[in-house]
Amino acid sequence: MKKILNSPDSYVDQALAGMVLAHPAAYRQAGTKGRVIARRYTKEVGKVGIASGGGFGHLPLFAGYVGTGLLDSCAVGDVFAGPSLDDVEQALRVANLGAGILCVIGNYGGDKMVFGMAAEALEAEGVEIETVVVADDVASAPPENAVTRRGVAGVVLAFKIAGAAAESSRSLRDTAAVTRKALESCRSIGVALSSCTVPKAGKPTFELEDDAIEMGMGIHGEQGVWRGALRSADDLADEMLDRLQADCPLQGGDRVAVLCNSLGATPLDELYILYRHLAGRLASMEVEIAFPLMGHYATSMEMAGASLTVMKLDDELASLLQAPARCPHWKDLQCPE
Amino acid sequence: MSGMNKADLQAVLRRAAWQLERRSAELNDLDARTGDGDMGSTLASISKALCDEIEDLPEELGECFGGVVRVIGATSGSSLSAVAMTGFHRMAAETKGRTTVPWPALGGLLQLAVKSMQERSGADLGDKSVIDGLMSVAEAVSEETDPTIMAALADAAVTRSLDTFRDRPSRIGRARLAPRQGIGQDDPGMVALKRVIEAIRRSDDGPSADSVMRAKAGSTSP
Repeated sequence: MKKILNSPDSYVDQALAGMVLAHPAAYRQAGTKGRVIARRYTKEVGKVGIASGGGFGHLPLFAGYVGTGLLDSCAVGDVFAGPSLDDVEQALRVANLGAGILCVIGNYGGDKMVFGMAAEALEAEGVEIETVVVADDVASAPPENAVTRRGVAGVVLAFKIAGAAAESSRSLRDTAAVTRKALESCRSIGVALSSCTVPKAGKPTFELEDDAIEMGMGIHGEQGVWRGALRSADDLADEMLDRLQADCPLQGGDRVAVLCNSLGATPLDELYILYRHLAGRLASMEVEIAFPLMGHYATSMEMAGASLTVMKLDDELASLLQAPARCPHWKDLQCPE
Repeated sequence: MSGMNKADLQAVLRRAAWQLERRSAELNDLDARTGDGDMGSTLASISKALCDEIEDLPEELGECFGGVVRVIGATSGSSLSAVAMTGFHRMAAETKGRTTVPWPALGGLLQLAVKSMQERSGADLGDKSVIDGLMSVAEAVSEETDPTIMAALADAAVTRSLDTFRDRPSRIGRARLAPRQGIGQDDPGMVALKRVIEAIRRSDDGPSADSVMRAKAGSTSP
């Protein structure tokens, strides 16, 4: 294992400590063990709180998206392992700003159960809580079993929609409803070029030959839909877009957000090469890319590869995505001329 | 009628924690075949934390089980931990204010815990998870009066579950995403349960599972 670390046991806590030191105006650590990341300054008493949580190793997902117009708090687990009940409960308490809490989480069994238990504890105290579960990875289950799909990079767009809705003083019910609406037409798929290594495991999560790729692999190294020889960027872009479209068809006149995400080791250069072809395909279909995002949004540590997320937009969703957000890791590349 | 009290529970927890720490690598390896390979480490962390609390458990069983919930809640957020917490939470509620659970009632208590675990996790019996193993144990020990016999019956029951489910696909947890990969593999949660029961049995030098089963079937062979 070749990683910059002091010890596998301290990997998560030292990374979190560094993140907070690097962005002191944005983040603070909360919770008895510092495993809750919260906004440094929260002035909006009376707004819906947005809380999340998940395993570590996906930065900026999940904790990196704590910020104005995004998350109010995030509970952090070990690498690829969900946060503890205590930390989730404390994250919910931090996010309780007086108008209810919306939990936005990926579709993982442990996370759902622990958030469910923590929510019950706060609901017993009279706090209103809703939960939106993100299940956007089309490679992880067929459409008839879509409720079992994993949550991957679409989680980031869900954070932005929910955070912007809460920031604009919407009610808990409205914030949850618009986030669910966004996810109805949000689909993702990833392709892995090489494995990652969980520090405590010390060896790669899976083996992949030098010239091989795996289409549809999950962000923890879960099995994809095929494994085979590396293909050209254009071929990969075509297959990824085709798979998303087979699940959620696009047609002329549609507006979309496109998130071209690095799984960790893949550079922006390669994402732009993918995007070039995707943009051409979508333009030829007369689909407007109203909101392109490119970079590291939901990673698997040093895994090489990329994921593509497409979310269909209406005026409401476009406006929420474009609403201002302040967070060290939210990169809106729309630079006004 | 005698029954399980705090001292019995402490003995079980001590044995379980000791065994789960020892079996960490085995469980990680098993879990890596269909999951993310951290079940052994997760259970070892919980066990370590539990060891710090076991000696200080109160007399009341509801508080004892509640203490176990708190330890797991502070340590881990894995799906197995969440399922286990749910089960212990139900047992805490059911034994509130009591210092003993009669041995014949233990199977029923475990069945209630399993039902709560199913509701929380969405797992059905037959999905190939620790829940299948636990339910078979709960049914096997139900109405038994001798804890030594119960331990042997539990061992036989979980062994039977492992045999029954080995060649079936996994339908819950991360393994559900590639269910056929689970065929021919033991469910790691069920194996963890088996190891815990083995450790509990070693502590009481009871009869072998086979001899108990033969006795129950009316066999006269030794």
